[in-house]
Amino acid sequence: MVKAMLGWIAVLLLLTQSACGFKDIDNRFFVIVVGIDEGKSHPYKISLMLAIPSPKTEPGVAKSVIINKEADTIAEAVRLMKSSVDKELDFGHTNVFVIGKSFAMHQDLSETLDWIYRRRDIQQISMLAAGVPDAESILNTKPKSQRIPGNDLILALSGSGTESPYILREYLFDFYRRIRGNGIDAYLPIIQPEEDNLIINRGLVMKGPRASLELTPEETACLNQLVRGFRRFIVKAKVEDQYVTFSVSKLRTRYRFAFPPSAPPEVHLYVAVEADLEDSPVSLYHHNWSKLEQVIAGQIQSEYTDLLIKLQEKGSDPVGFGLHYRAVMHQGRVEYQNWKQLYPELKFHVHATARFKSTGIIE
Amino acid sequence: MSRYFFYIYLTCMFINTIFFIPRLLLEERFSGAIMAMMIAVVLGSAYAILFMKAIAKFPGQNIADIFERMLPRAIRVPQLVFFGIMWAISGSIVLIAFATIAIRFLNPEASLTILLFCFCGICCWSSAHEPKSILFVTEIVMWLNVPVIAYIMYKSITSNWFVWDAIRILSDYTLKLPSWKALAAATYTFTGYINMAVYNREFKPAKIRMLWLVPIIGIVVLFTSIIVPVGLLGVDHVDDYIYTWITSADTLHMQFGVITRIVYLFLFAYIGFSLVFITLTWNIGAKLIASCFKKQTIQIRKLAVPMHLPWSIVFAVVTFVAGLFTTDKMVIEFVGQWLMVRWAAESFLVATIVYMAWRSVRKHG
Amino acid sequence: MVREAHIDRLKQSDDFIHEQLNNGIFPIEVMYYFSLCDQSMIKQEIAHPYLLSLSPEAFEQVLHAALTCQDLPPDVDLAPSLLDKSVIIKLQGKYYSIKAAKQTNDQPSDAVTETTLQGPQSAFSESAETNLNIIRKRYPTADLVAEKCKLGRVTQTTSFLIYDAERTDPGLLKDLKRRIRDIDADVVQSAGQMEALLSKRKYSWLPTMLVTERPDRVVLNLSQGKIILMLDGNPFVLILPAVFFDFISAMDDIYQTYFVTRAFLLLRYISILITVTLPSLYIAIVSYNPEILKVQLALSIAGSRAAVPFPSFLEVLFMLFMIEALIEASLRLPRYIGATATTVGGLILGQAAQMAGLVSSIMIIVTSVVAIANFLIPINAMSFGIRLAKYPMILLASCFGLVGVISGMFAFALFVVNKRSFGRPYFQLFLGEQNASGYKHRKAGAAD
Repeated sequence: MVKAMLGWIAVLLLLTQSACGFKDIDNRFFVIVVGIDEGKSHPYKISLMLAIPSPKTEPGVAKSVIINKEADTIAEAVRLMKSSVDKELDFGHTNVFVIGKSFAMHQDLSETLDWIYRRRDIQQISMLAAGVPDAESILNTKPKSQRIPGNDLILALSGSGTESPYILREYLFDFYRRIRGNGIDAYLPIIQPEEDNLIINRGLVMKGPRASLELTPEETACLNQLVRGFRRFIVKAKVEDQYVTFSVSKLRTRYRFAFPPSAPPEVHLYVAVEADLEDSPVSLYHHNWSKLEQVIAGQIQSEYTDLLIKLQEKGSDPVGFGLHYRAVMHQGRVEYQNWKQLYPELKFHVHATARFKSTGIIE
Repeated sequence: MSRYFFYIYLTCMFINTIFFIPRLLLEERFSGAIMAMMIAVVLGSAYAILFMKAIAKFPGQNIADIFERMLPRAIRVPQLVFFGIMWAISGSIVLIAFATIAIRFLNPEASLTILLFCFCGICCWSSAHEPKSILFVTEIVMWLNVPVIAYIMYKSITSNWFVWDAIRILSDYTLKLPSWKALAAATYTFTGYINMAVYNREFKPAKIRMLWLVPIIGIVVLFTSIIVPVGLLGVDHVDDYIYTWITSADTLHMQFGVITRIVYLFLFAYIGFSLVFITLTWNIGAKLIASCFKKQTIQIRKLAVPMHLPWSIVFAVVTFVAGLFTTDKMVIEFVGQWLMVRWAAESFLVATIVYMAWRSVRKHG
Repeated sequence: MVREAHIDRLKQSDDFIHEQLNNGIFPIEVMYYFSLCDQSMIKQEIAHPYLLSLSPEAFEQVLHAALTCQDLPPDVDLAPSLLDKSVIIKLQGKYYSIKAAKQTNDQPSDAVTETTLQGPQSAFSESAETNLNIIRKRYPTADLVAEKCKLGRVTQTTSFLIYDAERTDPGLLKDLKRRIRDIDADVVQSAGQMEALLSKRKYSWLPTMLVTERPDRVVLNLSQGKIILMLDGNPFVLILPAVFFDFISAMDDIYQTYFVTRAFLLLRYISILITVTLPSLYIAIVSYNPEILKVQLALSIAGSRAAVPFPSFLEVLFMLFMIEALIEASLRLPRYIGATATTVGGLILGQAAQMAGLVSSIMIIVTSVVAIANFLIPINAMSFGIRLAKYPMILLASCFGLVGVISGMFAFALFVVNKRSFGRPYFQLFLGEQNASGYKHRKAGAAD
């Protein structure tokens, strides 16, 4: 009897407590995309894309609200914005962070984005991207076919929608370990608005904590293959003075270092691809297939070498040669110091081999 | 029957990721943590096998009975009380750690008081049950949760974003002498066998078969719990993260599942593990302290209260009060120090049991 | 003299017959209740031989040669024998009783509360003797012992305690007999009531004894060493002790193929999990951690909840109340109105409530899944017990969110595991125990 009474008293006490975090889903505003720019009067200008839920989700009826604020820190901006909406801001579904390009080039990204790294409710698998000209214009672009706000960005960046070789993928945790770590640099995909659409086909490479180099679409595709091993790309080569396109289905890259005495150190990159023919004005079935394979290999080789040299000139290392150097050398703490002097003098040797499998369903 | 031993062993092994063991080891990853782990595998397995072989000589008795036969009361009572408190503290640490994690990751607006009250209440009630029920419920929880954790570990190692180079960088720092803290932390993974000190009473045939699985499971789980954070979070700044394993689990995602973020699966499984672990340890602690008293039940107004129930309540109250006044940092520092004390106590207990077993063999031939 | 007073008291009732028969040589008196006794049997066994008896001694021999004839000592009350469907014959001042029961309602009915696809389709009848016949036919061994006892001070219900003497635990039997002796009740009418009377604790929630109407289940349990309690006037029998697994297994499990059986068993366990946790998971996810779901699902749930003014736990309680009321009402309604009620409840209330903006559409799906999942449990007593389990979980989820849900599941598991059914563990993963039905036995230790 006494036990029962105590139980009821405990239950009543629990129910009267209001500080228990109970907040219904329709009293929350989900923030889907966050945009970070340089502000005119303050260091930060934060834009948020808030999703307005609707019971029917059809393509084209996505509704969202964009709000922005300037402040000295991101946390302050968020708090200021909380007072201009009627529901609680919920960052649990924030999937994309867009960083304005000028912000990325001028600010130290390992320190200024600390709010993102530190908060517990930001997913480690949220994606990062750079926005050209700035993040706010990306948020304000509303593609027509969206079912829910921000969905186009999420589908494109995560690869669950379109899988394009020009879209680089970068998650928050990977960005953090690259931007703070030694021996590997971060990169971001670049999003550009074009009328009502968003185009993602360029890349931005960091050097240390700042952005340093913007890549063309072809170079972005190469970087995607080198860094992420993205398999489904095309190789455009000239056969008999005409452009022929091969589509690759399998890609394997390995590399190792070589230190010949009294010569600059070398990196030997071994690339193996399997390709099919996708687009050709010439019938290639009766060609010498090993010649074709050489053409493919040569094209890949020249593309990769150009990209690697370009990255080396700028001092960026998104592929992770530095990390690999530290892994294979056994010298302890001095490895990274050695590497910083070694990298500008590295010679890249790309050895590509290709296997040509088929010409499609016609000759 | 010997499968219950492995359930208890596995519970303690998996709980080490909440116990900040990966964080303590990774803080010293460049100064001897790997060597600590290798030594711990050898030492921990040796302790486990010695202890199990020794306690097999006393079938159906727990250490309270063994001490009663072999030691005078003046030595026995302080020892049992000390060990009981040690066990209770390990349960309390997990409770406070998990309440903090629940608030941090699941429900930041909850008040710590209510959550602690809920946890302390449930664990107080559950640790007052008889050992057989606790073993059965451990079995059920294991069968449900171990596949989840195994899946998460498998998915993390085979992830595209796992950087093996980071692990190879770490291999340069293998041959360094570890600190006592790292060694104590790494051996904690193997400590599950020590719960048999009290549960031996439930096992009629005292022989536990397949003891050779102990080092194998230990190596796999211990190394995975260190390697995965390094591979996913980078070798240089993995110690930036306070809750290492939870953040590592957050880097995985199931594209085609109902729950996209795997960290929630991880947290669910760990709520189960934590509750089982706290129940086990508080039950053992309460029983050890209760065995110092002659009477086994107290009479409170027609209710026959078993002796170990008041001690569960004491543990719950103390933990509740302690949880209100501690912070993140205090808990981690306390754990670091406590692990060393615990290791010394464990070595002492193993040595004592082995010695008694040897003496009883000599007596009875 | 006392006897006469007794008989006068009995004469108050019009169905009590007290006749004087005279065959010309010696008189006898016959007393019986015509509502309880079969008059043709009386004519055949008593009146006819009486007609042919030439002397009282000859008739006395006839009586002694008749089956079930008993001499009644002089000071014993006649009423119990009369009420036990006997005829009392007074011959030269001595009283004899002979059984002449009228058989009513002893046809085995069809199994309605527990059905199988391919097993026996008939259930027990309402007469204890017919039921004993059915059991003996299916379990023809001399070890089968049936002990008779009478329960209830007023009802004096005939009941049989049936068990296989070779396989039952004698300690269990002794304990059970002691508990039966300690029963203190006026009216005992059903097996379910016996379950309540035989349990030690007053407040219990999940059943530890199984009530069934199927002979095949009874026979299977007898071979496993369990004890059956059968009451007259009731087609349901009580099987004890019973553990959790017994309540979740249907007889179909041994009549189907191996994978089919295992798949359906798994389905039943999953549905128990769903019915207990789904409402509380809904509350926890919608109100505490919507970030668990995919963003598309979260926005769609938010959209469908936009019209609802209540917090989520009130919505859940409201819908659950509707469903519980619907289920309970469909038990009580007469057959003619039953169909209408289901239509009203199912179609109109659910749809209308959502359109009126009282509940969200997701909640309707959740509620119907919960209700359907509950009915996968083969035994009703367990199904009702599990129905109650979700309410504490809802309370925990409303206060603590996901942590509360999982702690609640742990507490539920521990509670069930801690139950003992006559000393045996109630819920355990029974790995390595043998199955009495010989189902898919492997030689060296079968898994259950």
